Amino acid sequence: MKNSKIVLVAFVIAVFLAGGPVWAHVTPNVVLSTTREALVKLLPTGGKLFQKEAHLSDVDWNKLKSFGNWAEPDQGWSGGGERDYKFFISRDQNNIILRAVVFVSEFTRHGQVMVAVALDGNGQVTDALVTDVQEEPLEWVEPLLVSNYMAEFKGKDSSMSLQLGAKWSSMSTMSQAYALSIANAVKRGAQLFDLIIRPTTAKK
Amino acid sequence: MIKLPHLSDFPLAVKLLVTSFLLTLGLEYGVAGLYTQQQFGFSYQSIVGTFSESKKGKEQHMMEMEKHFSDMEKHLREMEAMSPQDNKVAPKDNQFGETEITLDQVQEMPHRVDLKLLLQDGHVHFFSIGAMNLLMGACLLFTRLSDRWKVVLTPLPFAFSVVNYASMFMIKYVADSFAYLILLSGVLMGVSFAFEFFYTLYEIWFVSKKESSHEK
Repeated sequence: MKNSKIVLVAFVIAVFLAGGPVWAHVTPNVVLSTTREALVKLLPTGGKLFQKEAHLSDVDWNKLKSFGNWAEPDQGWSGGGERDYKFFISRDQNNIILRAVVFVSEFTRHGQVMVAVALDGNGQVTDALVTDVQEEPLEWVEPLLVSNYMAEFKGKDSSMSLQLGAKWSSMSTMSQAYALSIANAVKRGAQLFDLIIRPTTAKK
Repeated sequence: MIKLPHLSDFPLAVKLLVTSFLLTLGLEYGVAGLYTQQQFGFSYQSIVGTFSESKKGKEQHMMEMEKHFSDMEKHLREMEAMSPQDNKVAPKDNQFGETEITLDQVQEMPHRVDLKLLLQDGHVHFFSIGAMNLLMGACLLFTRLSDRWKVVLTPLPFAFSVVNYASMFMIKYVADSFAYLILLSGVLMGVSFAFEFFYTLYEIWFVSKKESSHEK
């Protein structure tokens, strides 16, 4: 009898104290920049802000896949299977593109790395930011960010090489792997721009 | 049948060892819960948005992220005030199929747990959660609970863990409503842990040797 009372008391205490860790075992995501913060950093002031949601058709998708750096959802480890993308575009009074930003994710085996890629009207990368990274790979991504790795992409376009320069060979193997993932995200952003936004740049 | 000794009868050094282990694990469990609450939140919407592959799920996640980052609003409004934009302009499309928006109307990009991360987390955490359940269950075996209660209680944390993980896959490939099962099994995992935690500590420090031998 006394034993049952002890069990009951312990159970009541447990119910009150244990509601928290529901799915604590999912590796947490670290937000380095919110979407708005990234846009504030990457877009120029003064332009009108537009948003374009793009769903890749089968034709678009096959074209992108032919580049060799895109993967089907949940196939391989390089990611890129998402079919829906969102562009944020800054245009001037004459509808000329000042800057466009697209958010591209690489799904690595240690989680999602999201990169905001900013491009000018000619499809050249003006800047790029890692906005989200999983807690575990942050250890490998952080040295890249501290070393100003993202500046490597300035002036590059969709034809950029996915080979790391010699100056990054001193980084750990994992950091180099994530450097390539980030580079692929930037390249994919530029490829998306060429496919979806660039056709509009000639128009007014 | 082998009769297990009771924790309350063990030497002080053993009691301190078990207590230290439990306190460390309990602290870690609590911090993990707090961290997850900060990062994701414990709600049906946040779970669906994180794991579901359905369009509805993704939209729900975007709404959840909106809520999650609402505390950034004030700061960003101040930043936006530096650029000449009119917040009261109604959304309109241009000739390129783009919708004019303000920074206030920007929705946060979703963060998602895809299959690769789920597998990665699964293979690491299944082992660690299994080991944790084993040690907690072992502590419970050395208490004065009846064998009937021990038979019922010791396998439950393992079962809840399996259901919890299975639901993460089910929500991705079967139906969003498995989010409720994630919540339920997650809470039950926590309840199991807390029960084993508090009951074991109670036995160690609040049951005297005399009381223990009297019950024999």
